[in-house]
Amino acid sequence: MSNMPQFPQKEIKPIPPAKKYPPALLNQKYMLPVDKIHEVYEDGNVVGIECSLLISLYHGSPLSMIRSIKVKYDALEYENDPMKFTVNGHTYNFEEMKTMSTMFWEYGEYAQLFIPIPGGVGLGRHRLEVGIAFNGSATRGINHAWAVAEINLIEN
Amino acid sequence: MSSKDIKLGVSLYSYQEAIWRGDLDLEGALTAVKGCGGEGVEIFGETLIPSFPYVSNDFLYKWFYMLDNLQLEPVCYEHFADRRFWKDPNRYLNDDEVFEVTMQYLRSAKKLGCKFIRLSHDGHNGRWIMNDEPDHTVVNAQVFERLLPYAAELGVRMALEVHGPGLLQDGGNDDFLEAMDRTGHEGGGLMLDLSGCFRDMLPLEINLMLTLGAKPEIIEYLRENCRKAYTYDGNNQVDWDAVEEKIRAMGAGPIELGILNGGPGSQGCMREKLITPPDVLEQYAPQLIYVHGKMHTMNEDCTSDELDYYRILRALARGGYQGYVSTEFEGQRTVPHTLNEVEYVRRQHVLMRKCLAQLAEEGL
Repeated sequence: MSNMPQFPQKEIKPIPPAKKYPPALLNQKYMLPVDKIHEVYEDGNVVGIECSLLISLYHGSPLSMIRSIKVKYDALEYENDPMKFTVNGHTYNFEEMKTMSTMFWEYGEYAQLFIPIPGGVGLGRHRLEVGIAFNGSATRGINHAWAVAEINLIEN
Repeated sequence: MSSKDIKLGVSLYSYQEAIWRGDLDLEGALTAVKGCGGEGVEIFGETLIPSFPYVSNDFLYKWFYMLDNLQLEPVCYEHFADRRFWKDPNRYLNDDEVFEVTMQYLRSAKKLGCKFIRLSHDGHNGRWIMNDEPDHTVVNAQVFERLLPYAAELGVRMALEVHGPGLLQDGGNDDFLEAMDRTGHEGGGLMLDLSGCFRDMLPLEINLMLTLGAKPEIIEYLRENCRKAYTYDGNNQVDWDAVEEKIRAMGAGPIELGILNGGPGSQGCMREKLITPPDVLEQYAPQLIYVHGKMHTMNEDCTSDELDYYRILRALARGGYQGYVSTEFEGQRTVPHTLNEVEYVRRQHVLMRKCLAQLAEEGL
């Protein structure tokens, strides 16, 4: 038996197709700070990069309401797993996060996203794009925002 | 009925960017409220209470300590009812779960000393729902009716916010008001968001139209006529056919004509801008329990293009509204991290206090 609530009998005011609107700009500027992107090492080898993210909503959110996180690192693209998400010092995969309704990504606090990059990250310039989509609060649909960071990896 | 019954507050939503960047913490935000002359505060649990959804005793101690120091009154606690709480669509919250979630908000509001929760409910946009997804429903009238006796017992009222494009008068909250009449419980009441009274285009709309290629001079001409038509100062008749002729002569294309006349995918048009005019607001004023002073922009000289504050506050005062008008500054969402939120809230309070003083001089 479905637990879906009864559809309310009000008039529908459809929102025009999203493609007509510019991408969501809210909080992009500080969402993905360039100085908090660094390589991740395992046994002396670079296995990926980790970036820090501020939540793109105007309030905190339980992890279960993160609809998806999409990443593009140069030509490499990921959505959710196998990336890992760390909040309040605890690391989770996206499959686990589906039901984590009591662990919060707090407003104004950084979460870390680990992006595995097979074969290492390579020196030189790279472009990192991160898009986050939340199940909407209030009367909105899906809240989404994206941010871009250009990084330049140099040899130590 | 008197303007002295209207008090001014601030929703901490207004300082969202400063809080997000870490420029202001809770104490800083409350200090900013006091600094602009506000008397009351609205708080978001999800933003500022570390122990959310619960309110810890530690937090309560600090909360009341700061409010006492700054002589501020807690007024409202924001509520959300996210049905899509779990990622699995088959596990969306049912009515019983939404009831329990809202009960926690009511208990938290009571602990915080707040008189209201701003309810996230199905009548939030009046008669409209903003998309056609079946899971759009938040708190429906049935859940609201179940909550009423508990809210009344706790002494926390559920404020049914009517936010633009919904209007107080469009009937979208009738089922909620009927529930209150039927049960006789005073656990709720109507709440106005001033976005339903705006006489001008929103900055977000203006930016969007300019991005899509509208000519700035035509936008300005349309806005001038929009403000004239929807100020209701007795001199608000606009010949929209003449306006259309003029903008066609100025080189208007489908974007500019769409603003004026509406079109596929548009949300209304300037010719028939649906707002709550002051005379209707005056009729509803006795029913209102709370008002959000939505604001996107204020001029440097503390005047406003988007609202005629004098007329709005006069309508509230004449209608006998007794309660808070809490600033809800949203302009930063149009131009992120470029506006000084503290300054914009201050400007709105300067203007509102000036209007209230003028009304008091006039004997209202």
